Amino acid sequence: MRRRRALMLAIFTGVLVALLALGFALLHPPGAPVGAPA
Amino acid sequence: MAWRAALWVGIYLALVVAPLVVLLIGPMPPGVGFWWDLSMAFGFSGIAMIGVQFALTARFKRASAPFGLDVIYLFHRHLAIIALLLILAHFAILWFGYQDALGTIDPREARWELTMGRVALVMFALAVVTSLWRKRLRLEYGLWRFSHVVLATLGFAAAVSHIVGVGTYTDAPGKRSLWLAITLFWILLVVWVRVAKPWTQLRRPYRIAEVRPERGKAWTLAIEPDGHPGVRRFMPGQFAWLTLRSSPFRLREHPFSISSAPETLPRLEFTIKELGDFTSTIGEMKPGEPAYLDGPYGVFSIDRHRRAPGFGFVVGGVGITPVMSMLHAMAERGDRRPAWLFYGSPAWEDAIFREELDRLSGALDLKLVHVLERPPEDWAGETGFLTQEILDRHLPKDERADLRYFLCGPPPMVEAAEAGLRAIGVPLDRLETEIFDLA
Repeated sequence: MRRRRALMLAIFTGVLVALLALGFALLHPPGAPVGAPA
Repeated sequence: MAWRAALWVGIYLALVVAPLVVLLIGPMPPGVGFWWDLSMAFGFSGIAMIGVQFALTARFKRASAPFGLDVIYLFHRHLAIIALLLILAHFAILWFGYQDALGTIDPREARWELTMGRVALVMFALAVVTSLWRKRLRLEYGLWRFSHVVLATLGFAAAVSHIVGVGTYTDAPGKRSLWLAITLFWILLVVWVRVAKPWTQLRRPYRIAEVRPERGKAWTLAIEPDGHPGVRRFMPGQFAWLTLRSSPFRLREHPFSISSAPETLPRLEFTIKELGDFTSTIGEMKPGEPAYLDGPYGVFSIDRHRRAPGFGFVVGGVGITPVMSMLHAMAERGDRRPAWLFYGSPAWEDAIFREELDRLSGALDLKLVHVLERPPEDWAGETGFLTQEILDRHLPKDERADLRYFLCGPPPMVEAAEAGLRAIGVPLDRLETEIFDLA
């Protein structure tokens, strides 16, 4: 039971941060030239 | 207890998303393109998760109490894989889409902050690989532990310097201070775990009081506090990290289950099986030698289930240790709730605490079921491995669903016992398991 919950929470965390990352990439207004690292 | 668990999960999620929120709020440099931005966000997500790893393994008693430290370490393992995948994705997107931005890999010519990023990636990958396959790589526990801490800490430092050096998302005035605060929090965590905690252990030493041999190549090691009151209380079935023949600063500690009852405090006993590594030196320890303790930890205890009408213990080999602590506690307390002990051993001669269990079964309402892989010729009891049929034969049909079960032993045995108990009508939420292999 505890093992399963630990796995579920880890997967949930991964999905949550991946969605936030995706949100950042989608909503971030473009502007700078491609390839500029800084 | 449930609200506490929810509170800590909330704090944990806040810590994970904090760096991303810093990334998202306030002024932002213009985006470079979807894949570039996604790569940056993956990098931040990965490092945020790794930062939380230090909090997960800091062994905060209050934070770990609702869950059990064993499952927190399991969670730490899952999270490490996800974090590494995110950081690999961060690098892979740049590698395939933006080669020019990465520049040369040669550290003499590359920008230092990009080299730091690569160093961090290699260190994190090594930390994960050596943990997942420690046994396959034949890495001794002490050496693995030391290298794990070094890889994680240096990798993290390299990653933070990479972020600060690149500076694209952390340079705005408001963000810089927020980012500094997060970094400072992570550094304080590392200092707490690696300096403050060992220091408190050093100031509260224990001495070995007794080392006695047990059956099945096991040893019972008794320790007593030296110049302080020692552990004030613990729940029978809990475990602690012990440092023997070393300083707490040297990271040579090992987790062991306590086999004595809380009623015999301040003396603590641990029963340890020889497994060919550090554990094989326990028999050489002498009374009077110093020992250092971090604990107790864990939720594998009858004390968390005071209303249970009875107990079922299903153990294999040295998995008997935490159960001995619980049985001793029941005997000391005059607890006459019915209990069944299914105890798998390779052979009759190897059954650790065989005689003590006989004595305890006289003082308790305990039904003892030994299961032997290699039984002697005149053996009339159960043989082979612990199976559903054996559990079904001995557990009373009308009571079995109400008992609280404690499973401890090698993972295949625990998994078989879980499946067996469920098949004979025991609800999953009645099972407590101790996760043995922390690494």
